[in-house]
Amino acid sequence: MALNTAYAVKYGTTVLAGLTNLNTSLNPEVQAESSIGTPFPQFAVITAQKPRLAFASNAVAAALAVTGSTGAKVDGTNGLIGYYAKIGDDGLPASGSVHRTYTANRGLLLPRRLTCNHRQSASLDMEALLFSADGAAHPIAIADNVALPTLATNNIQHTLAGISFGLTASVVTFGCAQSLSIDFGSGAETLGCGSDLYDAHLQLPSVKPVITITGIDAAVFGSTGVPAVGKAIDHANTAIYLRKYATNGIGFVANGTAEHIKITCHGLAVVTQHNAQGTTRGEVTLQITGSWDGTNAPLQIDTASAIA
Amino acid sequence: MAKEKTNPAAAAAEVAPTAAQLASAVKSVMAIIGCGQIDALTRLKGLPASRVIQIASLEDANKRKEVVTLLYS
Repeated sequence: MALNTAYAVKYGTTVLAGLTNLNTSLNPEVQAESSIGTPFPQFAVITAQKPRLAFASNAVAAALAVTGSTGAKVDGTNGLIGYYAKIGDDGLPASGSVHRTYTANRGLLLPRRLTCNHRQSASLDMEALLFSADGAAHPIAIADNVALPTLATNNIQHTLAGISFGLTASVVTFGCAQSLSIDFGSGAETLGCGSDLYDAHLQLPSVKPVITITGIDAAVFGSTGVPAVGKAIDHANTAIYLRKYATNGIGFVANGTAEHIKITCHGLAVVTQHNAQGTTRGEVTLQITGSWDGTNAPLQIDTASAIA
Repeated sequence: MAKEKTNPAAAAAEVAPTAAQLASAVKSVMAIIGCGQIDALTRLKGLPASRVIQIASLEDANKRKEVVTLLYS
């Protein structure tokens, strides 16, 4: 037996960098019911499997460029491959085509949650919902004789920067942000037919993104910020920036260079709480619920933006 | 059954979008659908070149709402 370790994920020809975990799950639904005569189940059956590939990355710009805010289609042109490296006797990935892959050609690669804390690199959780061509073919193909792809260096990372939101002539600056979390709110689901083991369809019935920001400047809440009843916001006057660290780790890329991430949103902002524990500083939590403006998706992501 | 006629001359006259036009069209599709760049490009490859150029032109003219109609027609 040889050990193995998560190595990479490839979408189409793009090797996603900066992964911090990789989970391939089959999510079997197993029925095993007891009937009269014995407490033990007399028949156990797998009624369904809903395979998923889930992973997180610190290379959020590259990852968001793939997924956008609503997801990227996994198909024959842009397949999804999860790589697990076989570990050699020296403890490092072995040479040659000896590694394992899980390949899927039907599904949707979704962004699930983007998180970024003060002075921390942003991280994006992603999940691919996979389905079958016909309900009979397994959505995932396993191979054990595969070479590893070339990894991109994980030195392109972003962290919190300025946040402002509102409408024309009433833009609020969110002071002293401490954390940002974006739940992309995808309601994507796979569906099957006729008791087939594997789903053969996928639908995206809802996308309801929610942004949660915490900060220690209470001015964001009140007469000069967001009133208690909430505040409408639009894309043109909302900007959440994630600034890019210099690739050598010394400081940041200049604000005017179009290498930062800008996220805009249309929807409703409301302060959910002003909270403090003991004698520690209080924190204000702002929640933004995205909605459609009639043209654009609720979240707009530009992974090559300057900071205004 | 009548055989569908093709027009080789018209096909040959189809002008491919420039890189700038393609970038504008990608930007428009990404904004409307919320998808990533690769998906937007894939969608655009499924459209006639003239439609892609039309989308780019509307995007550049700040008429994204009309692109929505165009995308689904």
